[in-house]
Amino acid sequence: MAEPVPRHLIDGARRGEEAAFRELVRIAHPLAFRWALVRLGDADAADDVAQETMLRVHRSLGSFRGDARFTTWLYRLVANAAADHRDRASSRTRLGEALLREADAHAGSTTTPAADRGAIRAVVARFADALPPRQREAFDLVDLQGFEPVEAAEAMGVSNATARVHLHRARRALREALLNEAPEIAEEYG
Amino acid sequence: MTIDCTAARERMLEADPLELEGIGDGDLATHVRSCDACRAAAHRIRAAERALGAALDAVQPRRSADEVASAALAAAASPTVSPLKRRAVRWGMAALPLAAAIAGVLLLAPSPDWGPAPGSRLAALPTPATRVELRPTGNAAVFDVDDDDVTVVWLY
Repeated sequence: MAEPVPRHLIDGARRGEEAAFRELVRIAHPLAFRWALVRLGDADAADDVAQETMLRVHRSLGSFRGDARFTTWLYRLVANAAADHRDRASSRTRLGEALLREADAHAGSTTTPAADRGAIRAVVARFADALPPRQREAFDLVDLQGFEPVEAAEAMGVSNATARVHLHRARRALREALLNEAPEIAEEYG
Repeated sequence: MTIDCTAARERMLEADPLELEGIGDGDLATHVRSCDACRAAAHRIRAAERALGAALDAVQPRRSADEVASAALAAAASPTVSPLKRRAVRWGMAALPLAAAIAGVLLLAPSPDWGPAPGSRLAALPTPATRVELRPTGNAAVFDVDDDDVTVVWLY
């Protein structure tokens, strides 16, 4: 994945330039929210964590040495802020509800066949309700956001092998859910 | 090496998205390109996963990036006490009663061995500290006593 935050914004924000910091936040805040959402499974909690992360970015930008990817550094800040966040009540249910709502809205606005809608709901529900957080993270980073597996491993703070295990388990769980929900797909194998 | 549909199905469960889309020279990608049924199955798997990604993209934070940036800048502009200083203040506040007690003992219980000499100004001091001032930005507590010439400073 290409570095989304340009170097000149990071340098400008470190020099205390407000415009540079605001532009950096416009790019980094949606990323932080997304990562917190997948990690915590709750949109409200993710909102709080994303804001806290931007506060920490402003406070800690001076310590960002630039020898690592900014994305990786940002991901670690999100992970630490999420760990500090206390409110985990009903987190999986909230993510599942939010995602199913969005998935249904998208299917309703397109010509998605009914059979595919069922498959989509199965994948969404499995992602939100059944996958362990680390598997959700690995799948989201690599298969949905385009991170290279080694980048995802670095961001998650695990070895490449561990990240791959999480990723493969997530893929298998989601695709098995899909095949169980849509047996006609399995029948197509003949 | 060519694989059959059964093997392709098993590999699809953990394959990279590009392989499912028939991209690359791997066995699965090659099979997907050549088998209509498996290609259709792979396509529906990818469609469901893309829909999941779109649903995640659609969930938005309550606060905008500009609001968040303004909050961060405002927080930076407000004076804050660092965690280290907060800890120092807490220890200082907790130790004040002990320090006051020690000061009182020193002032009220002169010993024949080390107490103030009879007739000395220190010997005339009957009362303990009458005012205590804690300096939160430093690491000292200041005790004022009746005698304006005497000030007790406790460093912690």
